[in-house]
This record gives sequence, structure tokens and C-alpha cells, in this order.
Amino acid sequence: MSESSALGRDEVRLLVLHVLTRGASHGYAIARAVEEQSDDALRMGEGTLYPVLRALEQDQLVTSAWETADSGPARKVYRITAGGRAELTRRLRDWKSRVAALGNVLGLDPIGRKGGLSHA
Amino acid sequence: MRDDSRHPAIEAFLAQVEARLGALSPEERAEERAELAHHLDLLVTANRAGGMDPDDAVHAAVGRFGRAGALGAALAAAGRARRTPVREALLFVILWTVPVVTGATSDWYVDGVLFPHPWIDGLYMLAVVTVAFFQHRQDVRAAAQ
Repeated sequence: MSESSALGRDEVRLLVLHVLTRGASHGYAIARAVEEQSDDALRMGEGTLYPVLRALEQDQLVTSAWETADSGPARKVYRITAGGRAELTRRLRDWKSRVAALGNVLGLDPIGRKGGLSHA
Repeated sequence: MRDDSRHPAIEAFLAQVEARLGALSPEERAEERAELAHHLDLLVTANRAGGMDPDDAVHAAVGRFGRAGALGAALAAAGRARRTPVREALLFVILWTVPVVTGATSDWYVDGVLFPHPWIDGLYMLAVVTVAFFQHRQDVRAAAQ
């Protein structure tokens, strides 16, 4: 995994919200989901993940609760709120616009139009 | 809660994080510690399943969290920001009470054209307090970002 695989805070926020739309998860599961879905190309630094989760809770975009597991200790599980889903939709829209704009500047065919990156 | 069965490197990391959580209540500190410990235990288990020896598995897991001090400071800052709304509400009530009580109990009366009546003085004070309060809250939120 290269240095460029490290994620910024805004990216971590976006990915956390996205992962939680698939169901409640604890911090470790959120980080692993991102790595698995990116084929290990992206690493969600744990030192960034937890402050982001706190910020998302403060903004009421996610909620958390301690839940007892069938085996092992209790774990803190996060769920996305309706506000979080709306925020995710907004951020995804902004992300797509930014990618399209970058693609235009760089002369690349944006991801999603023809299913891949190619130089126009 | 300290777990003597946990690897010393993990306990040392958790202790370093906890040392920066002074702004949090004991319950909040315990929760932060428990959550991080749970994550570290799962990382170590995964690393061991991937073939690492025990010490390497622990050090790799701890390494993923970066600097303990920085993490602790970030979590403490988030905790302070979380408590801000309660303090803000109390501050707002107090700030409103002062001009209301002052206006109701005093006979102050500004001579002149702008504020010919005490109740206008009171409304003006309340408006100033409200604007200042929300500006302060905006500044606090911006600083916490």
C-alpha cells in the first residue's frame, strides 16, 4: 500500500457515511470494509477514523451505542441518521462534479460516463 | 479498564491516549479506551491470522493508529465540542436574564432620540446579546473543524 493510499479527513467522512448505509458497524469493521472494497488500495488510518466518527456524531450524521456481542466484549456500533444520508447524497454529488471538472481539465474521460478512465 | 492480559505495547498506547483525555469525564475516558482496545484486539487477531508473530502483530496494529498523543488530543477536542451546546444554552439563558432583570428593576432611561423608552433599551440589549452569542458559537464551531 503506497503513501498515496492514505485518506484525508473529508474522504474518510465520505467513506464512513457510505459504509454505514449498508448497515450498522463498529470502527474496525468500517475500516476493513473500505480496504476490502478498494482491494487494499485505500487505507483508512485509525488515527483519523475515530476523530471523524466523533465529528460525525457531533453533527448528528451518525449515532452510536454500545452493544453486547454473542461472543467477546461489548462493542460500540455506529448507525447513519437521516441527516447523514442527506449529507452523503450531497457530498457524492459534489464529488462527482469535482471528478468531472478535473477530468475536463486533464483531458480525461470522467469515471462513470464510459465506465473507466481514458485519455480523450 | 486496564487489562493485564493485554500486550504491554497496547496498554502503553492506550495509556498515552488516555493521558490526553483529561477534558473528558471518567466515563467518557473509559469508553474511548474500551473502543480503541476493541479495535486493537481485532487488528492483532487479523495480523496473527495473516501469519505475523505475536509481537509484530501487536506493533503493526498499534502503528496503524499513528501517534497516541495526537489521537488523544483529537478525541479530547471532539469531547469538548460535544459539550459546547450545553454550555452555550446555559450561557444564553444567563446573558438574556441579565438585561431582562436589569431593565425590569432599574429606572435607567437614556435621554435622547434613539432610546426614548426603557423597553426599547431592553430590546436593544437583548438584540446585542443574541447577535454576540451566535457569533461566538459560530467561531467556536469553526475552530473545532
